[in-house]
Amino acid sequence: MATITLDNVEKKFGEAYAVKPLNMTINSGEFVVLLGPSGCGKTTTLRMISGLEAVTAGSIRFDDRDVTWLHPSQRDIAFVFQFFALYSHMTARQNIAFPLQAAGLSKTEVTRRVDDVAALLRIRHLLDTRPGSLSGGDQQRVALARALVRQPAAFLMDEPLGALDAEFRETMRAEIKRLHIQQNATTVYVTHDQIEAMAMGDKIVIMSRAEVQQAGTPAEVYYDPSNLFVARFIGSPGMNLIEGAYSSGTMLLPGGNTYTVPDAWRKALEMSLPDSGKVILGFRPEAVVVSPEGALNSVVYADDLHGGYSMLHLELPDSSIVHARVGREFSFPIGAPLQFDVDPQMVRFFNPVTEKAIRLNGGEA
Amino acid sequence: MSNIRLENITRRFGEIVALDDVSLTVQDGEFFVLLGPTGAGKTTTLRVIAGLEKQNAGHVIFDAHSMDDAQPADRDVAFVFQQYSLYPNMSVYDNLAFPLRSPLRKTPEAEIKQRVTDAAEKLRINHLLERKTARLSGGEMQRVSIGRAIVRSPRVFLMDEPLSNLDAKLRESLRVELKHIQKVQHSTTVFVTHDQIEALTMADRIGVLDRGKLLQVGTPQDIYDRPATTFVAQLVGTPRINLLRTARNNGALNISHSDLTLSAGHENLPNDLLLGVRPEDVRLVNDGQFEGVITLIEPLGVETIVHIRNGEQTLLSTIAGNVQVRIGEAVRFNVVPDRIHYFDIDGKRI
Amino acid sequence: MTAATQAPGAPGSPVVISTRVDKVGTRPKVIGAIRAVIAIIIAFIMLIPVIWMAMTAFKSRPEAVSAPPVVFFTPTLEGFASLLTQRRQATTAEIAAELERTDLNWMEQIALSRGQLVIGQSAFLRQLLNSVVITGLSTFFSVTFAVLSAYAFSRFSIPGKDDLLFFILSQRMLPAVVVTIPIFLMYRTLGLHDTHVGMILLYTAFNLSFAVWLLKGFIDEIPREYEEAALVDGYTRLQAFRKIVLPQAATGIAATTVFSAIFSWNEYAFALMLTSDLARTAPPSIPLVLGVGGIEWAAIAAGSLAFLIPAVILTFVLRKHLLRGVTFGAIRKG
Repeated sequence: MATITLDNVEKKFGEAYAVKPLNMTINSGEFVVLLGPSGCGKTTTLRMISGLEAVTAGSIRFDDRDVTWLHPSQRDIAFVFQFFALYSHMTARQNIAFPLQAAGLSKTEVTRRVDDVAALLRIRHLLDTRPGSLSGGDQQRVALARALVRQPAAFLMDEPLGALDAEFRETMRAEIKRLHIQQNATTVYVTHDQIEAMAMGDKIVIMSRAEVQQAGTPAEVYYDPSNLFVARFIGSPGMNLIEGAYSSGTMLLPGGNTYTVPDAWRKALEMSLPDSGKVILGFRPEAVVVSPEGALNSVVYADDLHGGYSMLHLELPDSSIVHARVGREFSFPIGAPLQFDVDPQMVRFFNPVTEKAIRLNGGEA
Repeated sequence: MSNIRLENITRRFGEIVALDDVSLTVQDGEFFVLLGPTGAGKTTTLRVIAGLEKQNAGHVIFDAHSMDDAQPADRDVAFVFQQYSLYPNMSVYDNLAFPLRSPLRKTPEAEIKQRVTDAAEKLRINHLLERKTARLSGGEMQRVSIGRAIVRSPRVFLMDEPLSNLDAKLRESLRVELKHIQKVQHSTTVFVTHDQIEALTMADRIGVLDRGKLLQVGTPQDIYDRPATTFVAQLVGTPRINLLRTARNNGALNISHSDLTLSAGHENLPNDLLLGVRPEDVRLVNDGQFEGVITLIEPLGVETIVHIRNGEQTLLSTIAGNVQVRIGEAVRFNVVPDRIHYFDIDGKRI
Repeated sequence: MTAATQAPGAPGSPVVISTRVDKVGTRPKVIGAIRAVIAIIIAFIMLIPVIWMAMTAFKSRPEAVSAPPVVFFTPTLEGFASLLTQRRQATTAEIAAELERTDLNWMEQIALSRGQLVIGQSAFLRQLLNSVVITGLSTFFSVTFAVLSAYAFSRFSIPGKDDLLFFILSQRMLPAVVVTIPIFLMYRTLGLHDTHVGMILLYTAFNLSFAVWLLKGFIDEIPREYEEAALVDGYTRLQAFRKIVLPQAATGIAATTVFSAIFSWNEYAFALMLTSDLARTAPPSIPLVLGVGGIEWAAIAAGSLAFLIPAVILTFVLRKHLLRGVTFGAIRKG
């Protein structure tokens, strides 16, 4: 398994950047997810690593081998596509064996390796079936098997679960992760689904507008987003963000609410605030504590049951909405007034000008 | 606004029975969601209500009036489609005005203007009125579609997966907005979706359809807490409910292929059954009654999904926040006893 | 551990194969330039006959037949003059008399320079007008009928729909030449021989099958939801068709119009058999432009050029639709 290094890799279409100069190291055996909305450059990045797309500048290395201008077939990678790309006139076995036959392996060796990988993916009973009569999940299993059977230097996956129904997606998500744990293969995985990214990635690289916004573990990007984009993009719904004016330990929020900034944050805010004194308060929906003594006033806009919990949508006096995740026993009529507080451990602050997070030591992310 | 009654509706396409003897009532002002997988017959039901599809048997009744022979135009319903229902050759304003200009209504232009502006304000699309619909984003398009339904104040709103083509963030916010507008307007709405979260969060009542049959009708709480079949149980809730094949041994329950045993007190259950446990009811605790090994951890931020194996059974557990466990670690856990669901071997709730 | 450091064929060694390759790893600018050059070369090769025709149209009679062919020459309108007039050889006295006149138009001057007298207009302009009328009306009728029936085939469940569609298409499988004689006999009995009505009827019928198929494809691509939304909104089927389907099918209608028009415009065999004078169109008559004493190549080229222009204009006017029509399916999916 290879370590993949991207050194100032960029991609331009005409004058427009599809990917701005990007530096990234994917360690051997690591599962890295490229996450972002459509058009953010994540798929282009993956295709550049695979060689399906040429770079405009920069270099790509697999360990110490420079592969920047190598043909995809010479890079020793396996690519899993969203739409399976199985050959419909071949059985599952022939599909899986195809890359091995291309390499001229002996017949017994091919059979052995196909059987091994089929056992791993639990598709042995499907080997003589053609893709057309397989379910979406099984088709993607066969496609994965075809990628796995080669034991390449790296796996590149472009939204492999995107075409599956929700029920399959959850199962396959766990299966791919489990496979990765067993095989420990370097994997670059592209998705626009933040839940998938959080569940699967050792490291998540969040991209937007052709640039990396943050790279970190799931916990890092969830609890300490480095800017407003990441704060909104991760989590469903994303982080609640309210802009207010800071002065001596309190924040005046639009519509008249006053928020008392936790002591630990005061120094950091005073060090790094812009002259206007404006700052953005951020907190996750689960950080909301509903209580009659709560300092913040709101009115219930909607409340919905999500199964194991409820989500309250609270309208603040300036008619912006705050989402609050609460126990399912909470239920309020629309229009009811409601007071709440925010768990002081869970608050974060952002600079409204740079849109970057303010760190506890006063620096910016 | 009206109430809608479907009586024994059957609809066949050639040999295929799309709807099999479906009867249901939607109350005046109710938000009714039809939930089911692809091909369940949800959209067909909606189209039968709208009159776009004719039932082979049964009756469609609005208030006390039979609609069986009424043309779509005469039923006074508004239909919001999944996609493609905005006319690309017209501006947003003309799209919104289109239903009011129909020969049936012939609304004066001054009133049209008033009503279009009102609806646009409600949906926050007034800045888009002059734009051609081809230049709208997905979310804006769907807002306009909903606006075209609102502008008419019809007897019934019929919505066919209006949010499913939008990205996740947009879907979340439109979902809340739509629910708020419906509650404020008190409009009778039939909403079709395959997304269980949409159903749970928006509905006053949910009707679960599968292969043309109505399996269960109830409030979101009913559906989630008392699913009538294993199919319904698996349809709602993420991650999916743990379903475990179980054998009764006198009063105790032995979960197959594992050494998980629930103690006495189950004498009146059948010998063979399925046990359902929602992942949030599986709790990791130090002095838990059961033991297992962690095989996978999925940290989603707000919660973490932990896969626990015992024997050949894997149970999923969701735990709030970040969890300090590792793959391969042995753990102990409990299940909340009064939240266990029992199903017979055919999947019917006991 | 990388592929480079492992012996090939060793157990568990990576196997190098080609994954699906959409773009090879060569620098894209070079490829773009090469592609452009190749496209220009191909376009030039394709256009050689047209360019040659245009050149010949402006050549004098000796230049037009000279071997090896001349590429550089002084343009003349001789060919056009021959195309538009009927002439005869003039006597010496007549030439002298003509030379005295000061009111000669350009055609008469050209004729005179070749020792000929203009004795009247040729039939070419009238034949061109026939072509325009017959093409225009037959295209109009075939597209109109085709839109209606394509819509019906696309949207309604019609008993035996597939068979009917095949039946319509099967008309297209018949080589036209085979039926010219029967139609000729039929038309003579019906009194449709050498009439505009006869030709319009024939071309309409011939274009219809193709037009129905083409338009059905386009209408199939228009989501039903559009009309259904209108139906629910209180419009009748016909109103929905007019207000919603027609504007959306504009691309398809434009493409079908061009194809139908070009067929009628270029049609040769039927025109030759079924018309003689009154309703004769341009295609069968152009090759028959005989000068005095030999084939007038310049005149034939001039006729062909004049004949080409309306088709070019039509295609140019509708080019945006035509291009979109060709890439229709591809764009929809995006």
